[in-house]
Amino acid sequence: MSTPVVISGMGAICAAGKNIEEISASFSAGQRAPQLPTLFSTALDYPVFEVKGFSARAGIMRTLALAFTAAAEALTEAGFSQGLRGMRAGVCLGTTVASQLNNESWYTEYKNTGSASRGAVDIYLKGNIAEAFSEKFEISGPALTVVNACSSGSDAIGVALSWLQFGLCDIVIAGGADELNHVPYCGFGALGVASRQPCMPFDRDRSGLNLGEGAGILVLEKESSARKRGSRSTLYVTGCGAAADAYHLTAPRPDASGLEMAVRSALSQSGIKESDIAFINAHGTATRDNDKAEGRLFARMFGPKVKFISTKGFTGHTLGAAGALEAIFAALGLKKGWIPANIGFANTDEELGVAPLREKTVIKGSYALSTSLAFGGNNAALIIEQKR
Amino acid sequence: MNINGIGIICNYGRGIDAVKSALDNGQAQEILSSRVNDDILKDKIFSKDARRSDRFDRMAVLAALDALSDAGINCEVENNDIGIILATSFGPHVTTFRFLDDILTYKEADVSPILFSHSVHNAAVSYISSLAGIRGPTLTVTRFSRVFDQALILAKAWLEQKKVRFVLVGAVDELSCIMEYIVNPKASSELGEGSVFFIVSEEKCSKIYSQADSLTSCFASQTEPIQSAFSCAAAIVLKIH
Amino acid sequence: MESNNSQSLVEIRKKLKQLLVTSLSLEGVKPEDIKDDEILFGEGLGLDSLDAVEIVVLLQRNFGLEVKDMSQGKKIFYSVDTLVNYIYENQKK
Repeated sequence: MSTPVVISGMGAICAAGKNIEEISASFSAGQRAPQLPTLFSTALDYPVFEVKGFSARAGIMRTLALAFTAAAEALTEAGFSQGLRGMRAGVCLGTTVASQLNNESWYTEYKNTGSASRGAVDIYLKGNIAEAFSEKFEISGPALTVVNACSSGSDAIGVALSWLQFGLCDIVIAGGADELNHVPYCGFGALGVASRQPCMPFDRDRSGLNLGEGAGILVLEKESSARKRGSRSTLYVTGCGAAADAYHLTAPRPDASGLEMAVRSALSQSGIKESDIAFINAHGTATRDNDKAEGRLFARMFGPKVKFISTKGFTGHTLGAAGALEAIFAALGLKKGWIPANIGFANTDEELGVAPLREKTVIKGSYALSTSLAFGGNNAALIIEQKR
Repeated sequence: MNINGIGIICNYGRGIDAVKSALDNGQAQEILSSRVNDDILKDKIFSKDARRSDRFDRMAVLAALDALSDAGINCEVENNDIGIILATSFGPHVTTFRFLDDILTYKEADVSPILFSHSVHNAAVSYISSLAGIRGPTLTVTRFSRVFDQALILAKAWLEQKKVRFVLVGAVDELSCIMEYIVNPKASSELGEGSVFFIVSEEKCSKIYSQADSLTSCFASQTEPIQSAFSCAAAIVLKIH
Repeated sequence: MESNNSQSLVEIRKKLKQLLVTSLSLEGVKPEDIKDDEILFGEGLGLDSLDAVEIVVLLQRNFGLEVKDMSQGKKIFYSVDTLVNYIYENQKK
């Protein structure tokens, strides 16, 4: 990449913890606690990963509140606790739930009477997360919300890289957020891809995903700008590849050729080979189709001994937040020198030709790959570097 | 950055010629503020693989495929070299509310997976890429204001970085009574419905409508009235003509 | 008794064909043109995995039937006939 891009701050919140250190502790202890939803009432019995003890203040969407929490951590680390006024800064964030007015009681009132309270409407109209971030953090540069389903968080990081390479700005707040919501809970159930068990990514007996919620925010910055401000971060995003399956609305290409193109593009941008990748944080939703396609691609491209995990066993599938959270987990793995076990995995699926890591594992090496595959056929691959 | 092809779906019909004749008849404002007649969306492409597509998807697909054809691009040859960016202010909200209808009407386990899978913003781009065979990067973006400006700037960035040779960049919005109620006409400027797609590139194709380089600076005030993405894009088409 | 069951089978077949056309947006296909032994997936009607899960919901909503084990799904969903027979044999009386 012609303009090196540093990660000068990261922040995360999900079921595994309310900040990066809490999440890291859960990963290290191999602990998870999926359970039936408490945020809404339901007769369905798919376990989920809620952020416990977290509520949004009145007047904002839960998704936005999660995003602001993660942003506070990231901006503090980057030295921007006071916001970004006067900086050449932009914001690009991914989401799915926050882009829709998924408020059942509001809609019921509207259907029955032809009008309904403005409260929910105001929250929705002020809830475009990129626009809300621009206002809160006084960001005057480019601002976009990416709605690419499950790869939104990764794709938002990709947009940020494009802006930085193009010289539109020096700093981008990038990432994604999504709350647990009854509407997609019903939807994924209807699609037959939600499991009634705690999810088991890449396992022979996996039976589907568990939904989760959270937010992952990265402060991405041109290296020159970061050094000028005194940032000593040695974490970089060196490549982001993206490609489409052009195949089906809900099923991934069985040969994962779209993801392969995305990974090769990211490797090429980073100027590295497959053998330089120390480990992969996979999309690994625990659906039959995703894990088969993705697992077989890893075997094909990286060989049967490739080190990879899905962290969705700890967080659930956080939809728009997933790609961003997993980029952060990849960066964390490089920084701390270890990655957690692929929690939920017990038995190898011989059809895949690979198996994820069963134990917490020491990591040597400088590069990590994070992959995302979305409904609709978007594929994204991010490469993170820890300069030693 | 050159505009090599245009596709448009609006209340006056499909394609640049429909817009031209509306302009000749002094009907520019109506293009920006009227509903699209469903007859305009009839096409045999929706009879097989795209049969489940909703109105939002169909407006997107027709304008996008028309833009490709207008630019004379052969997708079988160029398929890895084309990216797609779709900008929308309100997304496929009609289907989102139809899915809410299902939740309110039926048991939770009896809601339609077809409706759910079409209620997400990126379904339209999935149809465009599948029908055209486009394998490059694809993106759907949303804001309530100036979203098409930002999409166009991003397209330029992609071309500059040689991420792709062509970008199919467009805007789609659908109107409905409920969205008009939500947005409240007093607070909004333009709420038109329709779809516009441009093919942009740095290449000298057989057709160049215009340069698209005089782009709005993205360092402008962020406090903008709500506008449909379609209205912004359609305004550019009107300017070109 | 015999004739009631036969009638019921005919009614199920007619209702199912109508539901397939509307729920799966089979444009240009008339319910009466769908053959009784029409294969649902691959050839025949050319349905796909998204249609399959929609049919599961269709069975729940309209006939009160759950397909608990999707590995049985391939046999049940093979053709219009196999689906009709499944409904006929399992419908709530």
